[in-house]
Amino acid sequence: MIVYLCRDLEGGGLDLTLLAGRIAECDPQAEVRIAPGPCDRPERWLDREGTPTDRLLFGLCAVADRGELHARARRLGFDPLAIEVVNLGVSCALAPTRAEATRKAQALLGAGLARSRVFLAGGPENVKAVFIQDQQISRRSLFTLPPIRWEVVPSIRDEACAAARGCRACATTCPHKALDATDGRMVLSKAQCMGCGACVSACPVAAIELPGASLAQIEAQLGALLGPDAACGPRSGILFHCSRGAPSLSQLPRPAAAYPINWLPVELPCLGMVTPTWILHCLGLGAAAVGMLACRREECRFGQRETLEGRADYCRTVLRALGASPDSVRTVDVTDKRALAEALARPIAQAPSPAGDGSAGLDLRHDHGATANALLELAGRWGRTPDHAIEYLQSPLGVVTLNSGCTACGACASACPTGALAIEQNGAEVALSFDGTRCTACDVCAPVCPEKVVQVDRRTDFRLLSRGRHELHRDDVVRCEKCGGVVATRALLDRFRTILGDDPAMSTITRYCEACRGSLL
Amino acid sequence: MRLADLARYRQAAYRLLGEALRHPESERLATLRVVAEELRERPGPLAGLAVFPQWLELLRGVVELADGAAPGLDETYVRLFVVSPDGICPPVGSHYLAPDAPASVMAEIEGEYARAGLVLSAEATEPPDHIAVALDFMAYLCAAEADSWGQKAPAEAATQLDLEARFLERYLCRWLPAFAELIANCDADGFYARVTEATRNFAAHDLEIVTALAARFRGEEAR
Repeated sequence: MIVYLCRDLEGGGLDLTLLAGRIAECDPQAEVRIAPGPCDRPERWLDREGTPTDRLLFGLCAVADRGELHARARRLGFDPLAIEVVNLGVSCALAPTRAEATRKAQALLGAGLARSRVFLAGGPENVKAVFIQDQQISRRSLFTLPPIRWEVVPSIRDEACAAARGCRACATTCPHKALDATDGRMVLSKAQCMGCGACVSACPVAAIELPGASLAQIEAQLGALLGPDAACGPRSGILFHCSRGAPSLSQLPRPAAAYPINWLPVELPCLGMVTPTWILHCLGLGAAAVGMLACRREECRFGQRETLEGRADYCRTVLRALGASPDSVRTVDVTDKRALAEALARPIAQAPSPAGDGSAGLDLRHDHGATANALLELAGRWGRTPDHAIEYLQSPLGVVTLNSGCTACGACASACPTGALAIEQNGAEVALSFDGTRCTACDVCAPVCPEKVVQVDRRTDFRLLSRGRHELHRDDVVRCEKCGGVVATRALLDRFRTILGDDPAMSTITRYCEACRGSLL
Repeated sequence: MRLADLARYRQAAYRLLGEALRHPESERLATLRVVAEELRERPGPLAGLAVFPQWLELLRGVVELADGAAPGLDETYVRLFVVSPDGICPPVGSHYLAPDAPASVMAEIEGEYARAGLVLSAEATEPPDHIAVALDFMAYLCAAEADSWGQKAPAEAATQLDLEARFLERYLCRWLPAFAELIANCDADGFYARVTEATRNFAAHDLEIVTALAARFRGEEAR
């Protein structure tokens, strides 16, 4: 890993020698190069011969155009997405003193290093060619290749995807209808995909990869910014923004001392990626606040503002229920500079007890109970467990209940993509259990239930989360008279009797397993 | 950048990949090294492609093949592609697309060749669904496309683009991932793993470009 730092940052308030030393302490493999150079042309620093690695991290005063950097990187044989660029000029200007600015730069570069360590290169499936069309179409233009912009699009790991079981979480979330299930496989239409990344954070089994904004990279970045080794201390806030955020931040007035929270920016393709799980995890890890610089409804090219507001509102509702300040979650128009300055400057009440040491690392996967883990961490910090369930349309958690008539056939458990529902045979009995910490209210289980007794409610129930896995239904198992294998549950056979009545086949069906019935015939 | 140049460079790329997946005779390897060196020094429009970093990596691998590499490569080639039981990565499409009915795949692919006005020579030593033959066919289509652009005949060039997209989408890109994965498992970090991975990436990426170019032409034609 090579870290390039622009020498001009020294004049901008950073102690580069100290910073270089701290980076080397943090990652002994990293080689820090402090170089003079205009920050609007970082591509000039790329040098294939003198750079024996693909992993590069740029700490710059400002970045004018990443397109040029990526194009030159590609021409020299670098994977452009493996090059991390941290805009230290904008971010560190908000810090009030040189020491704090340097500490903040250290935190941001540390997060860049962490992202880089877990970066996995994509393939051609992650690239979409977009021609930058000229306004004037001429006959000559037919014979020349127009400039191409390479957009990054996600890819789906079929071996992990739960589409075959009926999961449609990504397709439902995609604002451009670019995902569709075909023959049990989730297929992405590159033409329709705009690369917003909403599907990445929606996937309950982390089967979607978006190089440059993968779940692993986000986890690494947030973990580095807020984890036990974080450089910025307890009064840090995470500031999610898209590519439009950095210019807005650079235009803010600079009464730096007025900002009581040390805002740490995290750039994403679109804020539609930010789920309640991410927000709650940031707060659970000790962030004083989570801010989101969002495009206006009519300006977001992914149309995600409304979704974002709903998710932020859910988080505020949870915080209220915990006795915490809902103001810890802030959304602000990226173009409204006055509101932005005000939102960044507002102080915030800290949780009464400190965050855990975060040594377990950050895990944002839904099937690992990410949302529930964050909620329980927050409940612990605020010392309160709400005794009422939070019914909310944007709740990332669900509750499965059974009406009478379950036959314990296991269809719901087989379909459940996160393992929230499980069926287990124990001796002469079979039990269907539910773990509320893993349920994402995807509603895959209800339609597959042959008896239509499964009900899914989108709500957050802290008591249920604390309870963990618990039994929903238990039934006896009927064994085969010939081989001793399982025939079915007693309730299922009773159901057959209701349907088939006195059918002569019933005596065989209820006494022998499927294999033995075949041999008897 | 002229589209004729892009098509010519793509033709060269397919030829290089096809030759790299043929039996590694010393003379062939020497030619490959020269061509790879030339393409590395003068990448032309290929340098603007998203897949270029991987492509450059492949060229570097070919250029750095030692003079005496042929015997070792020959052993690997035979182990991977020729003899059983270790010849476990057949370089033919039918093995991956329809292992139980290879004749249907071969008939289908010969139909694709016929669509472009080609028939397989009776002297051909490789089956029509062999990877090298398929890559040669793509090189042929690219050459025809380049000629059409050169002759200022965009409609003919667009027809060639459609044929390229059709062949890549319906045939080559359907089995190259499985082929590349198999070789990666049998020859991890080896020369053939690199070549097949590069071929898979290049073909998939080329499909993206060819499709976009064909759509662009149809869009402009509609104006």
